[in-house]
Amino acid sequence: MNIGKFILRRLSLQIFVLLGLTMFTFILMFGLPGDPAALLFSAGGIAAGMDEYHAFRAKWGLDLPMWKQYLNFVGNLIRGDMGTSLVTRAPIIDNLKAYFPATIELAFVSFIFATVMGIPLGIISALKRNSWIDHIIRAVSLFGVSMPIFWLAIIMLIIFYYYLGIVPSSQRIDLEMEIPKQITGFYLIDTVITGYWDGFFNSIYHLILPSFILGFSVVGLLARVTRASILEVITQDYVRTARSKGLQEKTVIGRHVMRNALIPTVTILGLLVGGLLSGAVLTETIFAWPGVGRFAVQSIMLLDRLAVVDITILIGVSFSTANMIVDIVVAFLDPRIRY
Amino acid sequence: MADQEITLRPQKSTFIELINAVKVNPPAIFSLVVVFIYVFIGLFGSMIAPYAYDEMGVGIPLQKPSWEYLFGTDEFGRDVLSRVLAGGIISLRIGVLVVGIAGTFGSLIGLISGYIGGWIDEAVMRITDIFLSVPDLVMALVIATSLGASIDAAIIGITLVRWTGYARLIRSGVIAEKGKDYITASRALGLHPSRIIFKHIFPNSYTATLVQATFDFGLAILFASGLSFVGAGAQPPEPEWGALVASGRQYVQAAWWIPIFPGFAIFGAVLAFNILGDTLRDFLDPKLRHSMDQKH
Repeated sequence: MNIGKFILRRLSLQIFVLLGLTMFTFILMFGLPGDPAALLFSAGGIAAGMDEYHAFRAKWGLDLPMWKQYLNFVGNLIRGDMGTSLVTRAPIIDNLKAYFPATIELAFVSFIFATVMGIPLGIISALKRNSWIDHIIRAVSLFGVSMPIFWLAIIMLIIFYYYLGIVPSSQRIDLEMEIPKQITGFYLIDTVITGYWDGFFNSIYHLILPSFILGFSVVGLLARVTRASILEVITQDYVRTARSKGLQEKTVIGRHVMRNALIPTVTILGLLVGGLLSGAVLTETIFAWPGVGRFAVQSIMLLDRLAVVDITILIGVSFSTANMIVDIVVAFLDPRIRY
Repeated sequence: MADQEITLRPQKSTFIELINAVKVNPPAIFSLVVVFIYVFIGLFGSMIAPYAYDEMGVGIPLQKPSWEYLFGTDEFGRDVLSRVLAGGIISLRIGVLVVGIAGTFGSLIGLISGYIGGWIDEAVMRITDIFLSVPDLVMALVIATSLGASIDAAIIGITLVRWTGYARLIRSGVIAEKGKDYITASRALGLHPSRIIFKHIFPNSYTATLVQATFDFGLAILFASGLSFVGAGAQPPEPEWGALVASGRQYVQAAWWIPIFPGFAIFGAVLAFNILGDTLRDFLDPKLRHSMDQKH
């Protein structure tokens, strides 16, 4: 199968899965007992009669049968309309436009951090197998994946914010600073475009702790996979052959071992994105980071069902896209893999 | 060389071998001890706790850890140690239920789907794709919320995101075994499919499931605490560890011990299950067990 066909097949599978996801989350959020309108009317303390209640239900299509509501929802989604929140009465897409870049910025910096740390640690660990440095790296990796991320964040905040006072505790930028003009929504890019250097450095300053913590939660995973795949390759016969024909150790490791060990590591990067998005929900909650994760938690508290469905789909699309890119990259790297 | 040595040794049972492997592995010993303590706290935590977990004013509020209150007191003067001990059973129950239900149903679905194949297999795999299209904690969060944010809702949420792992694992094992001659022979002999599945195919893929279950026990504890932390799981005053960290968070400046100790309990338990999983995997993977010692 050629690569173009492979990508096409992967893409169509993706669309099918995402459609299934919309159906699943929609049924989950709206199919269960509980009338969102009734809930809203009682919770909001809106003094309304039955007429207003019915008018409200009709206006938002809540009186339609479930499957019609779902079809409306998907139809709107395809046209780029993510619906209006019954709780905030604002188009949900506006919220997502504001929050999504914040999450991606945080996740991206964490991703860079995790890769820059995790892969070299895994390599060192594998090459110095069973030495004390290997043991330390493996222990730290294990701690990282076993630690509740919110707990680590609290410990770091106690040390670096309350006692040392060298990092900010929340938000993307100091409250008294001007918020960068929204162009892409990524503070690090927007501030550079507008030449707002104070804002740029302040944003970095705010990113350090949350991205370190979020990245640390997946460093272990990456280091472990890198280590395991190098050890798998290093015992192969062709590596022994390379050594015995007198190649320098540097060449053996660089040319023969790394190239082949890279594939499982790249494969794991998709999973890494999932870990980062999961962790972002918790990290954003702690650092009052105005991202999708915190928005999800807030929407959950407010019982904003449509917002929850939309956020899930957005996260699903991002995660699936990341996985798809990884699959395609792996297919390029390893000609044996074609689905 | 190594092969000769192995054949010279008398055959030992896997269990004895496992004990011997653990004896020379300090992290494995540590993990077993911690798991033991964890189960003990789960079963007898509230009995050995010095106070009732919800008894207010057993000490002056926000007291530092001392001999009388080992983990200090919280904002209502409740004993933090007693609260952590009382939370053990909640965590243990979550782990047992998630791993038990997800493991059983996931494995069954994987067995059937892999053995029958065809459109049933295709349908099952596409359903697992849907569950895997959203990061697992986010999916669990959505499910737990829609079911009304409680411990049981969290258990269902985590179970629903974890069964896919077992289904895929067992399925790939089944597909690998299915084509082998001894299965064809059993079929030719007219053995009932259920007998073939449970007597021949399952025993060949359960070791990987066992490893997965050990890791998942830790993961279930970790996920449940995360869900409770954001309010989608246990609700106050339930002394679930994640909920304890969440409620202690606002007092962290004045009283670090309120969130730190329950978080440490989560960390310890998850770490122990992860080390145990690693040990089991290294042990049960014969390729690793016999080859790692002499090669490079």
